[in-house]
Parts: sequence; structure tokens; C-alpha cells
Amino acid sequence: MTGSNWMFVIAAYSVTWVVILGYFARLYRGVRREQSAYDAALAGTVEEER
Amino acid sequence: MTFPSMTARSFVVPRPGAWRWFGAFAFGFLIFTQILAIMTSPPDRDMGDLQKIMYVHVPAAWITFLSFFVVLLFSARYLWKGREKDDLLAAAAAEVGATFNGLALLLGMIWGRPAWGVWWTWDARLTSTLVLFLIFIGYLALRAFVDDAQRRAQWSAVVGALGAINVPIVYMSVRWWRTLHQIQSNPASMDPAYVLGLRANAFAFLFIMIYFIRQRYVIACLQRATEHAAEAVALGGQQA
Repeated sequence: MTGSNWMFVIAAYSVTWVVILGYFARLYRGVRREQSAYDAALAGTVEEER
Repeated sequence: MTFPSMTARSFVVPRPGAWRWFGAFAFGFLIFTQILAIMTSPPDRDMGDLQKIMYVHVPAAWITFLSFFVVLLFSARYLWKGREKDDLLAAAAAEVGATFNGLALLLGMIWGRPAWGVWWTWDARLTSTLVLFLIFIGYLALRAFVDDAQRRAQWSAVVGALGAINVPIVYMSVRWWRTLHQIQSNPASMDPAYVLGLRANAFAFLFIMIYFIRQRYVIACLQRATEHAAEAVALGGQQA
């Protein structure tokens, strides 16, 4: 085993952060999208009540 | 067994931004523990610096198991009590678990190439981990394709509970079968120089998992609450 192993170590940590940050971004966008949809649905409910 | 009506919302939608500081802490802690582990651990006698992959690969695998245990817990509770909140928590944990499961597989491949000379081999541990991953991809596909909320919750609770039973098989596979994969790593079985880094990274992954499950649960609650609101409109403007 030589110093070239660092290439694999760097690849492993890069993949870890790509997956974690990618999933974080997915959740962040999902919360914003679903919050908007929920607010719109609630507005629809209120409109219906009027 | 009877389940409560899905048209009456039985959960409170959590505030999306309430755990912002916990998320920031979890990410900051992960950065800190990774730097700590890389800087303080000496190269392994056999594997050299490749050993440093352990600090991400092993916690990713542990968190996968833990997430699927959460799925089992809430799926069983849903089947027992029929509470919608348990179904949503199980679904959130399943998606997070599948993400960490995929990550553990990728990291294992990256470690396997220089250590074993192959990216992949049909070894018992690798194969059972892949089967676990596919079961939970199936679980997520099932949830995506079933429109009826009650049926979706019941079916996915059964699949989630059965899927989680595979976890002990994956864990014990390295002892039950002759495998290329080494036996389980834990702080008791390794050089003390590596224990702090592994423990710290395991906690960092745990905090990330908790934050992700919570945020995914918020999304699931908002989706269901939106469906409830739409149903309320359809039923004549009842409050959602």
C-alpha cells in the first residue's frame, strides 16, 4: 500500500459529502415546495369556507 | 384490525425551521470529527492510509442499520395502533436509511478496489447489503405508486417491518458465511488509536441521521396535511 491510496481516501470523503449535501439540498427544496403547497391548500380551504 | 379514518388529520405539522441550529451543529460536528480522525490516526500496518475510509464507511453502515430499526419500530407501532404519525416517521426513516445504505455500498466499493483488487464481489456481506438496499428502494417505490393513503401505510408498514428483519442477517453475514469482508469493526476490536475517530464520526453521522429524519418527516407531514386540506375542500370546506 502506498501514498496513491490517498486518491481512494479523497474519493471516499468526496462521495460522502456529495451524498450528504445532495440529500440535504433535496430535503431543503422539498420542505419549501411542500410548505408552499400546504399554504395554497389552506388558502383554498379558507376560500371555500367563505 | 381497524384503522382510524385517514381523512381526519391526527398529527401536528412541525415547524420546518425549528431544528435549523441542530442541523448546523450536526454538519459542523461532522466536519470537526472528520478532520480529527484524519489528523490523529496513524496509518494502519497493513492498509496504510486506506484505513481512514473506515471513519465514513463504518458509521454509514451503522446508521443504515439504525435507520431501518427505526422503520421497524414505527411500522410495528403503526400496525398496532394505526396512527398516521407512525407511518410518516417510518417512511422518513426508510428514505434516510436507504440513502446511507447506498452511501455505505459506494464507500465499500471505493475501499474494496485497492484493498481486494475488485470494485465488487458477490460476497455474503456485500450481497446481503445490496439486497437490503433494494428492499428499501422497493419500499419507497411502493409508497410512490399507491395513491390510497391507508392502503399505502398498511402495505409499507408490512414491507418495512419485513425488510428490517434483514438487518441482523446483514450484520451476522460475516460470521455465518465465509466472506472476503472482515468481521465487524467495533471499538473493542481495534487499535486504541482509531477508537476516538470512529466513535466521534459515529456520533456525527447519528446527529446527521436524526436531522435528516426530522426534516423528511416535516415534508411527509406537509404532504399529508395538504392531502387532508384538499379532502376537506372536496367534502365541503371543513377545517383541515
